[in-house]
Amino acid sequence: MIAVARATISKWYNIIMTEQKAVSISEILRCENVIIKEDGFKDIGDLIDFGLSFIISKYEDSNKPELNIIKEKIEKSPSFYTVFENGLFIPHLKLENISEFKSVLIVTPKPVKDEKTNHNIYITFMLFSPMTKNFFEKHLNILSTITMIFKDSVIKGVIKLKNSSDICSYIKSIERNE
Amino acid sequence: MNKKIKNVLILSTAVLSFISFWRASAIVLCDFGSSAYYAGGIAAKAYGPSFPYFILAVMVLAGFLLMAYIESSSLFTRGGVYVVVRETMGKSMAKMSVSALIFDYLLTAPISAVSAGLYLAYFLQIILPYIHINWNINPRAVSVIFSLLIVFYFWRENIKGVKESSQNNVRIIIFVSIIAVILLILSLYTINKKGFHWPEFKFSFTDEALGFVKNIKWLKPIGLIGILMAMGHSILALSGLETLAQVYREIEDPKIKNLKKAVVVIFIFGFIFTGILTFMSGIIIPYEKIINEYSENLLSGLCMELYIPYNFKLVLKTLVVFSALLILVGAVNTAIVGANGILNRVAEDGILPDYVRKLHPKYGTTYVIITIAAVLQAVIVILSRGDVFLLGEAYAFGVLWSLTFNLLSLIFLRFKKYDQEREWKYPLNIKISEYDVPIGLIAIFLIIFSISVINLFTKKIATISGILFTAVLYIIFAISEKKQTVKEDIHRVDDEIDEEKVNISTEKEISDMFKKFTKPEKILVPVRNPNNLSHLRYVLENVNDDITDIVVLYVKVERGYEYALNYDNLTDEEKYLFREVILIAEKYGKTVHPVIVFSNDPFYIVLYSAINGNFPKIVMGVSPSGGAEMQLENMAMLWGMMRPNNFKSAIEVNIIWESRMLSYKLH
Repeated sequence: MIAVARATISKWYNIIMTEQKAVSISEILRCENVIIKEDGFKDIGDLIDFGLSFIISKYEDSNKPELNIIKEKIEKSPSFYTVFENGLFIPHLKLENISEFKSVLIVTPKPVKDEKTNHNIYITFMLFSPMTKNFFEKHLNILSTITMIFKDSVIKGVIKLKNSSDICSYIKSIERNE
Repeated sequence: MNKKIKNVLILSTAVLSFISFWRASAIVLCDFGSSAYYAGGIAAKAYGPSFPYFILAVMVLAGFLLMAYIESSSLFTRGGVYVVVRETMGKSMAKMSVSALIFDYLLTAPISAVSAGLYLAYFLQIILPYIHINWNINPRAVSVIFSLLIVFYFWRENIKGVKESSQNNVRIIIFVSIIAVILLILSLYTINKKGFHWPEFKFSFTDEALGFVKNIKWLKPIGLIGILMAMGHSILALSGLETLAQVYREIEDPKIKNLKKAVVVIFIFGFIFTGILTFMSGIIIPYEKIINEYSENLLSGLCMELYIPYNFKLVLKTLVVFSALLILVGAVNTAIVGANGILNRVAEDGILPDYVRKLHPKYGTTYVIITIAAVLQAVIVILSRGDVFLLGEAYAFGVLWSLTFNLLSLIFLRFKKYDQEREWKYPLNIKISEYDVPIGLIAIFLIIFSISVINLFTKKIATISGILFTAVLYIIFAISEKKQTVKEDIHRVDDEIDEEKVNISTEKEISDMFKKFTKPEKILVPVRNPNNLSHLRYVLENVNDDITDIVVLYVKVERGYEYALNYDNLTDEEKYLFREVILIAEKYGKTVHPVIVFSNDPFYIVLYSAINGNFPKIVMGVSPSGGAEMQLENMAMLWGMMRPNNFKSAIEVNIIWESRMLSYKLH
């Protein structure tokens, strides 16, 4: 079970980050976790539910986190809903009791409208990071890498692609050039 | 312009740049030290040959009083008698004290300028015949014309700004110090060659110097009473102390340490220049000669009595007159600076109309206050008709009573704010329970209070004119305060917010703003909440502003794309935020550059500014809504989007709150 305990974070607050190497998207995102949803979603809630269910489904039964608890945590994290003007959406969360990054990339050529910002969402990169001191800097580096990779032109390129492996290769080629 | 950045405003006030302790000392000394040229002569005429002892004693007393200002400054950055007295005795007593003090500030400029004019006039009387000009010089007429010119000159200088004038003060004090050393050496040489006489320790008070005492049979100028009366007539050598409290806010970091240095410099200079040189005059020049020839230009007299060739005497006298002109006219400047500082404190408290504190559009100085002070000083010069003794008789009422209330308030504060941290405490304290009972302060208070009471009886002109002026000014303050309160009730909901007067310059392009910051190091300090500025304090504590531009950035969030062009668009809370920023900068004595950017995306602007302004470091406070991690996440995501392709260095982002810091480098 994934416990929600914000207070535990304070233990490692007094830190200065060691300058870790940038993390590539390919390191944390398997090609099987790239999904194209041609029909899109009804709304952003639907999109998030789909993403959450997908990530949870990847856990083994014995270690599966409860969806309700994650949703409770999301409600307390305003930064979860980070939608950018260019159509990139990065719902992200730090969770206890996970030891590695969990992610899913959802491509919606038919965009999902975010009512709050009025932006159209084309690319959703959902990311769960372990809530530990060592992973926080990595977590930041990944966030930075995601926005660095998914610039306007790349988003336009990705939504034109028709299968997951093409998207994976495209992202890898962009990363090599960066 | 980037569509997320709508407009940039850069704020400045008169105090966002700071001065060294040398400059601060020079400002104070131009008043405090200048009394060497006239205090001895006036005192000699008032109560007789014992004047050198009392001038020396007053200089020692000044040392103890200067120390009291260190303690009060450690409590209040924008201190001085008004703030200190208000804190303990309330606004009415504070207004009373400050009214009395302003009376003396208004007298300081005339007494110094007239004295300088007299030195010049007596010098011309000797020199002009040498070049075959036989004008009949009337010293007092010359001194009045000269004084008016000087007041006008320094009025203009002060309109241009304190920093500019304080540089002049440093030059003046350096020159005067050289003259003082020459005079001291030649005085010792003269004593060695001609011998000396100890001045008689006896009192011969003139009728004017006895004042009301003349008619009080039981009050005789003998014993302790005589000593206090003589001290009272020597107190004019103390002018300028309050200026120290006024310049404290402008002293650079480390403030208290620099203030202590300034106090030591002021004390040594005052003791040697005023105390010792007056004493030398007293033991070298016969008393009768002082009274008949040199009472209006004592140090010129000392030159003429030195054991040196006559031509050398004339050269030295020329230098002394020149130094007198410099320091005495410097005192006029200090008096304007001091009066400006005090009236600013009063105006900040809503006691004077707001327009009085309006800043000069070009120089950022409070030109209305400066002009009022200069005009009143000019009027006093004209009314005195060049009579320095008349001005001397009128002087000291304000200095003494404001010092009395100031010291009493400091004593009260030891009990009222016993738990407040003081960087420095007046010595001689006894610990009783949680209180540090200030024996030293109480002793110095009793001395000053006794002299103040005695002066009420002896300095008739000072008592009458001082009480009249204080009463009139107090009434003006009271009426003005009442009007202000009514006005605020109509126009302002929250009268707790005291708005800092600032100058605004607008930049259409944010990149134009970055060109203004040319120091080798740069730090960007975004601010939002006036109660959450611990990160700014951290920066001011740890950063050397000599080599670092500290840019305090406030992002005014404007939805939509309308342009917000002026400071008036800010809310009261935002104006309060900038007041807090300026007060903190003053407290640490470090220069900051407040900037307002109107935008719809605060994080974007912070990062955009850091990238385009080449800021290697951003120091932020923690966001109470999202927390430090959320802020870093936002910065990291934006960084990915905004990072320039050829970016070689890194930007360090520090989130600081309480005593904690979270730091991350954007590569």
